[in-house]
Amino acid sequence: MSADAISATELSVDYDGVTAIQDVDFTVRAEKLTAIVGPNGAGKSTLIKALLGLIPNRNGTISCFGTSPKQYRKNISYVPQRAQIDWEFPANVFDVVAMGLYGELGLLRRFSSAHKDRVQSALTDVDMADFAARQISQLSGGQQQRVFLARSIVQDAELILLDEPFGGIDSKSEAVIVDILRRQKQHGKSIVAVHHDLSTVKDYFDDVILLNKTVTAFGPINDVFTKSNIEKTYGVSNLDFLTGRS
Amino acid sequence: MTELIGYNTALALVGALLFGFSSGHVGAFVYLRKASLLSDSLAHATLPGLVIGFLVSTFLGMEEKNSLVLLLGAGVSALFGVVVIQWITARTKLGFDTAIAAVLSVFFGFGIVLLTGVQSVSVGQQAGLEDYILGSVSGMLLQDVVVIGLVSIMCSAAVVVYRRLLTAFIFDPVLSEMAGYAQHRMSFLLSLLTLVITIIGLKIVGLILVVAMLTIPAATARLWTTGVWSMSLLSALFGSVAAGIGVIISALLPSLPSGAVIVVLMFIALGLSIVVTHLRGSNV
Repeated sequence: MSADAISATELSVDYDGVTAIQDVDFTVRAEKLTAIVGPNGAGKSTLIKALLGLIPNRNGTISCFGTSPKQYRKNISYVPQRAQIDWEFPANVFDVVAMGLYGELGLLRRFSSAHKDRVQSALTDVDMADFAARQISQLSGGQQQRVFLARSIVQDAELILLDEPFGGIDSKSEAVIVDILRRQKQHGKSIVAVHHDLSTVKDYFDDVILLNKTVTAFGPINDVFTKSNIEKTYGVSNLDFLTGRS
Repeated sequence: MTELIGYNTALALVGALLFGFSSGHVGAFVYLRKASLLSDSLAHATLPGLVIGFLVSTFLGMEEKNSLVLLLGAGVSALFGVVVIQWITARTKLGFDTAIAAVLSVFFGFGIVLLTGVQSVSVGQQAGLEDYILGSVSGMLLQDVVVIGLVSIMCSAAVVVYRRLLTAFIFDPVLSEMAGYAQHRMSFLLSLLTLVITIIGLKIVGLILVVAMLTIPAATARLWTTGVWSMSLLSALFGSVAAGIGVIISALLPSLPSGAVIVVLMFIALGLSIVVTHLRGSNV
């Protein structure tokens, strides 16, 4: 397997006619947990969309394991921000996880008992097996996120992209989710997550991409997640209160 | 059956049962997509095309009630309405709701002007045109029922085939896109189904009320179910039963337009469902 899950060269991406990402180069190591960190409006979600091949790049190239995001698409799973989902949608936990198999099932293939077992096993992986019949409107934020992780597991994609997986959930659920992501990494998955909380970057992730329209730095946390790089990314000094542990 | 209610009513009943089923079936997805207003706008935008279709069929010397030409006109007109809505939303600062309201009222107003003009010069037998506004099954012909029935079955078949992708698309559009079905394609499919259901429903329910077929059964079914598939089937059942009973009542009391009767029946079912599910506390 190639050492790089993603590599971007001279990448520029526009969003709604505005340059959101300007001429960035970075790589994401395979089988690592990588955080995309940066201030609001830094282009984090735009970068994720570009990595998913949902929006075209104005300039430059992205490759996922040596091929374009569009060609690689079936091997990428995406966990959206919880706020983008209508949780009143008529579905239970099982239904949502089963959606992860829709790409594989296509239009008419029968949902077999083997598929059912895969959904159950993914739910067991995220410790939600007892909630299979629960309506999604009746889940806590952390449980909702675990359901989406189960959906991602059932897709069995090599690359998992998450948009703020820890947004608005309590610290206990956060720890559970980090644990699930680490186990996925051990199973050979490469994971990239947009992350907001600077104080937990070091604890949760192996690598980081510091982004504010341009990439300030990328690489292993210990090398690049430094005070000066963070200050450069956020355009302010004195961030000690945020990075208390560093 | 035909001896009991008469040949024409039996024909209309078959059409109504099939149309009610597929409009409820498709309607469940329109409801979940929160696209009810778009379908209402589309229905009102059919009027200019209906009248123009009527004029064309009259001047070409066809039978005045050549409903295929009228429906074709309605379809083109509604499609134009959708294009205008999309253009306004994409190219101006006006919002989607404004675009919908503008197209709905302007197209309908223009249609009424045309209709009044046609009535004042009295070409052909324009009485048939009014049937498309409030719905009337009294003059339903075999060819109408065949068209309505076949198209209804096709729409329901499309829902069956695309159910997973429509569900994924509405719940999480990126998921269906990643599975290889681009969002604009799924959006087009749902709009197309809405358009087709609206057009074939004009005769039975009328253009003012056809939106109710796409929303009320779905809303009622939503109260009783917790999954998309069960919801869409129950919605189809509600639509079918209401349309069937409505057509029979309208045949027995010919002064009542079928569309209005059907909507009142559906409203009663919705009202009862709200009360019962609320009392049971199962309003999920």
